[in-house]
Amino acid sequence: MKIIKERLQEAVRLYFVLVTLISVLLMILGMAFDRDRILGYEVFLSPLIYAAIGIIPVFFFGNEKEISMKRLLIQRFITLGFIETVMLALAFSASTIPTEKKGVVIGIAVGIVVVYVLSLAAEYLFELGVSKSINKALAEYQSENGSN
Amino acid sequence: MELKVKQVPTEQPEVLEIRYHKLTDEIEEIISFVKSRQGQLDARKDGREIEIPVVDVFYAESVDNRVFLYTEKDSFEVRLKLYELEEKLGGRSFIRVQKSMLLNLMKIKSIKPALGGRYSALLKNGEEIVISRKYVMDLKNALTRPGHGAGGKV
Repeated sequence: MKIIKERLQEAVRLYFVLVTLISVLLMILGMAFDRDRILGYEVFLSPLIYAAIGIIPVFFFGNEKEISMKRLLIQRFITLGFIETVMLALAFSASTIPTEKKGVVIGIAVGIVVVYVLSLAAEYLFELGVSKSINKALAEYQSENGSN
Repeated sequence: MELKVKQVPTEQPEVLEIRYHKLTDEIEEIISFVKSRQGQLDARKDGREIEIPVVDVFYAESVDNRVFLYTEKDSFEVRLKLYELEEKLGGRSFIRVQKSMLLNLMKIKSIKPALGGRYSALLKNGEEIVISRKYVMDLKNALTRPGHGAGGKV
């Protein structure tokens, strides 16, 4: 139960980070490759859908096992590969995305890597904040119990 | 050597401080006595039986069904299972940080993120220990619990 709760918290946190980053990515790619296209309001759903796909690996790659740094990195690469595959498959199946342009496909592929790296950076910043609060509590704990 | 004994309010920690010009055998004996009063663990090293003061233990780790205690520069084997050691150290500053490891909170210098919800604890002897994601919440709870339940003096 504790693990499911933690996993959900992580997924929600990642989801909103991804929605923001994907919106920025779509804006950049659209302005670069398809500036004149007029889109309907349904386009606002795209970042929400893509971000939902992006958080799927959170539920599959459980970290309850104590994995090494090497395995963790491999896991991250597999996750990135999964997201790249699904997103590109979606892009090629969507009629609104001009995948016939090589630049668009490269832009999506590179953009996904950038978004993924930025989401990891956001995760690191969040954990850095947590570690600061732990360090503060630790200093108080050691001071109260007589540091040795 | 002058001896000072002073009562302090309960909200202040009890401290036994020894000020010396030179670390003589006599002073080491006093330190050893004080440490022994705070608990010892029976351990083995190179076939010799040794008593290790609990306050000197940085962490304990189970490797291939054998449990080892790690002090600042040394390691010793104990004839206990990790869960038995955990029970024995209950109420002290030890907390499980991995499935096979107990860590002394008093020996942590600082904590930093280590990717994937894990954290890395830099110990006062320079070693780094990974705190697994599963035990991070327990660590936070132990440190923020009123009265600091995981601890007490070690």
